[in-house]
Amino acid sequence: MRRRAAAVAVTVSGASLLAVSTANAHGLVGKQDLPVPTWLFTWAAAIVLIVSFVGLAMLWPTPRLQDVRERVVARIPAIVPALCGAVGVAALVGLLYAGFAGIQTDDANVLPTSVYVVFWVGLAFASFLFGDVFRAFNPWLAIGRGAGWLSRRLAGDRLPAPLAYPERLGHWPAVVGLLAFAWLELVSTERGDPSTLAFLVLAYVAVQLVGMSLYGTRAWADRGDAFSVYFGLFARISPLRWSERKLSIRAPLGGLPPMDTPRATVAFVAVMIGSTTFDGLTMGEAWTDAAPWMQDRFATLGLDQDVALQAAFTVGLLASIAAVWGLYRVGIAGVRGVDGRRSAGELAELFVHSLVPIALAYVVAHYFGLLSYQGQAMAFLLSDPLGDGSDLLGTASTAIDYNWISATGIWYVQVVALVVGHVAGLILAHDRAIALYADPRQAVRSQYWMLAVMVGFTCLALWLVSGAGS
Amino acid sequence: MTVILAHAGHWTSSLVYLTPVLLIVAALAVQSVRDRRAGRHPDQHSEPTLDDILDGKKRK
Repeated sequence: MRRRAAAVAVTVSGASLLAVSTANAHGLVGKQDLPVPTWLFTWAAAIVLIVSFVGLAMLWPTPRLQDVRERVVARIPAIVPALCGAVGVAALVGLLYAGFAGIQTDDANVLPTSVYVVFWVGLAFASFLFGDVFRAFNPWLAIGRGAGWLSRRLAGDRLPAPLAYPERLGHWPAVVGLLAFAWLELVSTERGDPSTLAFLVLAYVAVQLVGMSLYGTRAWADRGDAFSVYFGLFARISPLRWSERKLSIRAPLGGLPPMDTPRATVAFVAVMIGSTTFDGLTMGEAWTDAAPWMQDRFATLGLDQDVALQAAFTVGLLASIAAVWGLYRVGIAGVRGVDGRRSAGELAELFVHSLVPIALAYVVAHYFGLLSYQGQAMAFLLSDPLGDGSDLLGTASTAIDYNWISATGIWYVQVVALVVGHVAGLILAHDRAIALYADPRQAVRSQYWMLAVMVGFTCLALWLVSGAGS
Repeated sequence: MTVILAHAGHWTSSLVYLTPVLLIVAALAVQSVRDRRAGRHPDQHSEPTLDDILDGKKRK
C-alpha cells in the first residue's frame, strides 16, 4: 500500500528539504537548520499566548468585534458573478475530462494536484487573503443558479418554492461531506487515481445539485455544501467581504463573531482541525508504531491487509477529530465554571468561532510547504493536463524550484502562523466573553481554561510540524 | 500495545512539548482549589441573558 510515498528528501544549498513527488502528498515535515531546539519554540509560543491573554485582560475591556462596521469600497458589475461562475464550470468540466481521459497516474494527470493542492489548500489560503472567492467560482453553485434561472424562465409561477431547510439538519450534510473528503485524502488507497477521483467529484456535484434543488441554492450552499462552509469560514477572517455585487472592507476577524452557528457547527470545526491533526500525526513515529498494531487487530477479524490498514487509519482519523472536540469541550467546561446559566452546548456554539483561526493556522502550518512546492507543478500540468506529452502553454518542461524557500524558512512561517492563529483565537474568545459577562473579571476568569486549550492546540501543532514524532 | 511500548523511548522525548500545557493546567487546578476554599460561586455575578447578547445589548 502506498503510504507517505510522497515525501522525498532533497538537499538544496546545504539545507535539507522534504518535497513531494506525487500530487496527493500531505503535509510536509522538513529538516530545519535552527539555532535552538524546536521544543523551545513551543515554550516560547506558550509564553506569547499567556502574555497576550494578560494583555487582553488589561487592555481590551469592551467588545470590539461583535458588530464591526463594513465600508463599501467598490461596486461589482452584474456580469462579473456570471463570468466567474462560467469560469468555475469550465474548470470543473476540463478537470473531469482530464480525470477520465488523461493518463491514470497521480503526478502526471492534472486532476489530483488540482483537487488536493490548488483546490483544497490553495483556496483556503485565498479565502482568508481575499475573502470568499470560492463562492464566486463555485461550479455547482453556478450550475444550480443557472438551472434555477432557466427553470423560472420556462415554468414561471408554476415552479414550486424550495423547501425550508430543516433546522435539525444544520451543518450535518457539510460535516459528512468534509469527513468524506478527509477520509479520501488521508485514508483511501484510491485517493490518487484520476478516474476514481473524477467519479467522486461528479458524485459530489450530483449530491449538491439535489440539495440545492430541494432547499434552494443559497440555503444549501450556506449550510449543506462542505466546501462552501469550509472556505466561507476562512473567508470570515479576511478583511474583504464580497456580497450582493459589493466589495466591502472590515476589521480582520470581524466576520467571525456574527456568524450563524446552526447545529453541528462545532462538529464541523472539529473535523477541520482534527483531520489536519491526523494528517500530521500519521507522519510521526507514534502513529507508525500504532498503525500496524491496529492493522493486525483488524486483520484478525478477517479483513485483508489493505482494508485492515484503512480501518486503522479510519479509527485514527475519527479519534483525532474526537480528541479535538474533547479538548474544546474542556475549554467550554472551564467557561461553564463561571457561567452556570448556560448549557455546555450553548456555550460551545457561542465560542466556536474562536476555533476558526486555529483551523486556518493548522492548514497554513501543515500545508504551506506542500503549496509552495507542489503548487508549482501546475505550470507543467496545465500545459500537459492529460499527461499525453502535449505542451499547450509552452510550460510543459518546467520543473519545481525547491530553492525559493528553505525548510528553515517554512518552519518560521509555520511558527508565525500558529502563534498568530492562536492569538487570534484568544482575541475572539475574549471579545465574546467580554460581550457576554457584565463583570470583566468574570469574563477573564471564564477564559482561563480556554487559554489552556489554546496552548494545548499550539503545542500539538508545533509538535506535529516539527517532526518530533518522526 | 506491546509494539507501542517497545518504542516508548522514542516518543516519550516528545513529552517536552507538552510541558507548557501541564504547567498551565497545574496552575489552573491550584487556582480552582483556592477558589473553592474561598467559597466563590459561579453564579455570583449578574449578567445579561443570551437574548440580550443576541440583540446587541452589551452591558447592563
